[in-house]
Amino acid sequence: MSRKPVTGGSTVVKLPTGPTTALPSDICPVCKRVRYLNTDMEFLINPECYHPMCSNCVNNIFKSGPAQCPYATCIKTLRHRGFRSAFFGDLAVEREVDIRRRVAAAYNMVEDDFETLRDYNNYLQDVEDLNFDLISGGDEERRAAEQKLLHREQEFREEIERNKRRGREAELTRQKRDAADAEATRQRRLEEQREEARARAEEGTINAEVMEALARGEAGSAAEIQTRIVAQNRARVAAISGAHFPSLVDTAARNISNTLSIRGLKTKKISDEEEDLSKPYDPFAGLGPALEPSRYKLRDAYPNTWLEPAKTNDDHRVPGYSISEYVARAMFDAFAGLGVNIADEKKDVARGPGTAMAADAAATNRVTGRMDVDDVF
Amino acid sequence: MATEDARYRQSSQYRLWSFSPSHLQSLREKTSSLAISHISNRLRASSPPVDPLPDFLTPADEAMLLNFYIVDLLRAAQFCDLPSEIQATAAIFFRRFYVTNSLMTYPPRALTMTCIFFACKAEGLYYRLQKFADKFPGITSEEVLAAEYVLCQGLRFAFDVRHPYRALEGAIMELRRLGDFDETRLGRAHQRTRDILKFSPLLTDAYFHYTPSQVMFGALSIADEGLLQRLLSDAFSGQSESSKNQVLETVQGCRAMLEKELPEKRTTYWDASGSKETMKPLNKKLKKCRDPDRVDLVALQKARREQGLQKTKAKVAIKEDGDVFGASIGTSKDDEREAKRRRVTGGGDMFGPPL
Repeated sequence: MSRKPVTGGSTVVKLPTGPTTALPSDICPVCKRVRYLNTDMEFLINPECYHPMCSNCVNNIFKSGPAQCPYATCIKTLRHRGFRSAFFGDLAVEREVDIRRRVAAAYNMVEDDFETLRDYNNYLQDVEDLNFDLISGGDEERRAAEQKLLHREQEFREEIERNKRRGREAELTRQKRDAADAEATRQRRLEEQREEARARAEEGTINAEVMEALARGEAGSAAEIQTRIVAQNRARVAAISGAHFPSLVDTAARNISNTLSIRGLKTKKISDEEEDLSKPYDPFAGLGPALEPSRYKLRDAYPNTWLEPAKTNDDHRVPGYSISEYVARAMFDAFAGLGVNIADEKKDVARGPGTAMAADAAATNRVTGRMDVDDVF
Repeated sequence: MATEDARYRQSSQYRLWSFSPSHLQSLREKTSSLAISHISNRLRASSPPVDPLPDFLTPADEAMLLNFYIVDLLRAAQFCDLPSEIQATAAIFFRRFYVTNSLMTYPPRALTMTCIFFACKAEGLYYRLQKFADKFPGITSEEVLAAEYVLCQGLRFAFDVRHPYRALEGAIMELRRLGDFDETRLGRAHQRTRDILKFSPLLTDAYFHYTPSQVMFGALSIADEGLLQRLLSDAFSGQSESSKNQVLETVQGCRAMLEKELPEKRTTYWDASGSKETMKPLNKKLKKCRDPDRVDLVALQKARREQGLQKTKAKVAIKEDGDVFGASIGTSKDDEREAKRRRVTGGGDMFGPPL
């Protein structure tokens, strides 16, 4: 009855070889029972070999203790306890997920454990290579990978445990934070609702007052009465709608520190184009240095008794008279064109167009006929 | 190259209205000779020909008369309570206008009024025309407006006049900030410089030959040489000695020019009887040799306007005929355009033909 093991003791199973790795839906491959007659039929697998069989078979074969897998050529000894229903329809996926879960449990380091990002990435790459070898590698690779995994699991047990604990703690704090956020949001919403209800109630009382006043037959038209009473109560209404505002603002400010704490976002690299856009707008389009004065340094303030009234006088202040603007112009005027030597610079323009024309006109005596000097064009 | 200078060179005052002394002189001589030849032709062609041609004004006479009328203009502007910047603008407009036009061609009395009124416009001060005309007996609003367009043409449509007044405020502020001088000395220099600037540069050709800051520094050096030295040594602290000396030389030249017409002379000009006596022969001379076509600017303006109206009316008529069926759109418009093109290419100078 018992079959000889073909391969050495392996902790990671090969998939059942067959036409398909899919979970059967209608017929149990062991007892050939049909779902049509057993509507509550359920297929179970054991992660030792991933051979599906119906729950009836599992009960019949393994109830009395460990037994060999009923599949032909399978030499695994299975226990009743190891059976479970598959989460995925495709057993290959089921197996891959199991393997990955096991590997991830062994290799559970996080980025903070590494000096550089590159080291961490190399580590992730190694782990993924191991995963691949285990999942879809050849016999040799799988065996080597298994050795590695076993070694890791045994030798580094303490470290793995430590990491696990740490991960759990991090998970706990995260959950706590999420819970606090949700609670704050709920509270805020509740408060808003309360304020709204209060405002509505207040509005209702005002309307009631208006109705009462109308019923009493007070002087003035209905619209007048209404506006009067609303105006009387306006301060109250404003106080209510404004009252919950600071608390809102407060909670918003408090929440920002909680909700916006997305960590680990790397500072993005900005391209040249974006960098240009991110600069403040320059109305002189980079001409700024050309407008910087060279002969004087513009100060913030100059002692000038004439300008003192302009600072306080409403006639100047309100229309927007800018003292700094005036000072800048005055200083510019004082030193602009100081180095311009007109006698030298204008020497060679002695025969400008105007004079040339005048000379021509004088020569040809054409001026006398030109009455319509107004007509420029 | 100082950035301030580069910025000043962009101004129309530098581009159009700054001349070297020889250039300005030749311009004036040319204007005068042109006017003389024009007027003598005109006088000879009039129906009873004026046989012995009158004595024409020489450029020197014109310069004297010009100053006389500018003082007149300043007095009128002061009478209107205009700010000193606008007074100066009006005076400079007048001065610029008579660079390319002769006193004999356009009557200066009418032009003074036009200049004042137009300076108010150019500086953004609203003065009602009727109110303005009512201020001066014997002046009508038509007279004020008649020469306005001619004035604009004469100014080459450059209405921006850069004055040294704000520059003076800046310089005084800088001096006060330095704190090397006591307040009374600064106050005195400030007062004196302002007095000079309100008068001297307007009666000389300083605006044509020097930049506002040079004019200001020239006036400041008349008032207090020490302040000028302090400012210049600060402004040219990082530069070579030669560039500073060059500027100093220019400022000294400006100072010499301003000293010819110090504000103390204002009283002699102001004293109407005295100056009128000296100007009487010149004015008489001017009256004889005026351009008969342009004595009455109002009538001239009216005639021109009517001429223009007739011209446009004729054009409209042609257009209507042609446009009935849209057949001959081309012809009339082409004629028009051709005429315009001829005028533009023939004119050469963008600011119109010489006057």
